[in-house]
Amino acid sequence: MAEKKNEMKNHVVVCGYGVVGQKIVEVLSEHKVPLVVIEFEPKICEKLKSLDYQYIEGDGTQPKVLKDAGIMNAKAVAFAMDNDAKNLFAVLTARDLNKDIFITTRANDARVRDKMVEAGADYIVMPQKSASKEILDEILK
Amino acid sequence: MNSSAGSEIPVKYIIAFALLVAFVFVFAVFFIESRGVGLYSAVYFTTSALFDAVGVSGGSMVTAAIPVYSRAFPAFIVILFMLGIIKIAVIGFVLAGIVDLITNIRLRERFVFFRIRKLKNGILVCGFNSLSEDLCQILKAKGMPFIVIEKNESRAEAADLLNYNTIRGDFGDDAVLKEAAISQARCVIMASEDDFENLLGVVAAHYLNRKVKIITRARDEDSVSKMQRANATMCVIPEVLAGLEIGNKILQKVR
Repeated sequence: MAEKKNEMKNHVVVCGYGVVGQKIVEVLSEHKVPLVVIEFEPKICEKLKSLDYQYIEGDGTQPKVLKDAGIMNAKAVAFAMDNDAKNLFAVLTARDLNKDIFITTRANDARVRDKMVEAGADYIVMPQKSASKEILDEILK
Repeated sequence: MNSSAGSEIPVKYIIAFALLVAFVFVFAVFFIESRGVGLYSAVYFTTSALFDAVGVSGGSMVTAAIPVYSRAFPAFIVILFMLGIIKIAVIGFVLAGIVDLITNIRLRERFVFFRIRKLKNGILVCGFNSLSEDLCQILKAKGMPFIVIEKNESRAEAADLLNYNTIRGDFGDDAVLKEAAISQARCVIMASEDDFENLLGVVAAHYLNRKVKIITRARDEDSVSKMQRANATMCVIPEVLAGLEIGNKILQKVR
């Protein structure tokens, strides 16, 4: 199965299947975008299997795992882990492996944002900023 | 309610302050009666005698009978100086107590309560964390009045340091929300990272003000329907919003 995934092309790699990762996968699946999910927790991997998603059980910060997910030929990768340090490390690794890939990541702490850009991330989303914007729109209604 | 503007004032500080006032009063009366000076002068000399180390002001009142050239004068000056050092130690202790007293009665919180009572159409931000910090920055930039309610002391201090009106207390407590003038609020935002706390806050807020807009955060999608049933106007899951944003951005790039 690992060989099959790393032969995929123009797909999207989603690293982390928490709340953020689930929503990313949902959006991409609705539009039939081929994807591979990397997830560390075995129980979550069981869930991914039951939902018929392509997945790899492993640590998304490891080059070997990213290569197994076919990052060399992927169009985009989304790092949605809950830990900023891991996301940052993964961004650096992904950029080293594929200079042209579109890298998006989540960040929890504003101080890490600039480092993510420096590390090679193309698009950074902070959940609290997204929520603040929605809340403010509602207040101003 | 645990949002009182400071704990009970320690009795020892009240006693220390009362003793200081009594001391000044007694000696002022003594000077008035014995020297025939006015009230102002009596209080002035008593207070300055308390605070000077070398006994210049008070000492001059009692050493008037001892000539400078007499043998007793140097010894008396040494005694006065030692008395001055003791006075400094005692006064220092009393002053420290007064400062502690002021800290205990939390003057800052008193000012905050005063400002809150005057606030109309303000926004209550319940829970101070990264989300609410970001929100408060935006509200401040837009000139929208708001109050932060936070029960954790270190987080409340963080809000204080940013000069936000802050109430220390549990926003699920009716009394705390009343102190925050919820009846006059325009909107209440439940920003805690705990869905149970937020739900309780939503219920309490709606109970106290049926018309107020209630926006809450949730971590779990299962909580959303519960929040809505509890009359929350809007429920946001920051992580879901982030996932949607990332997903849509990737779609733009890959299609």
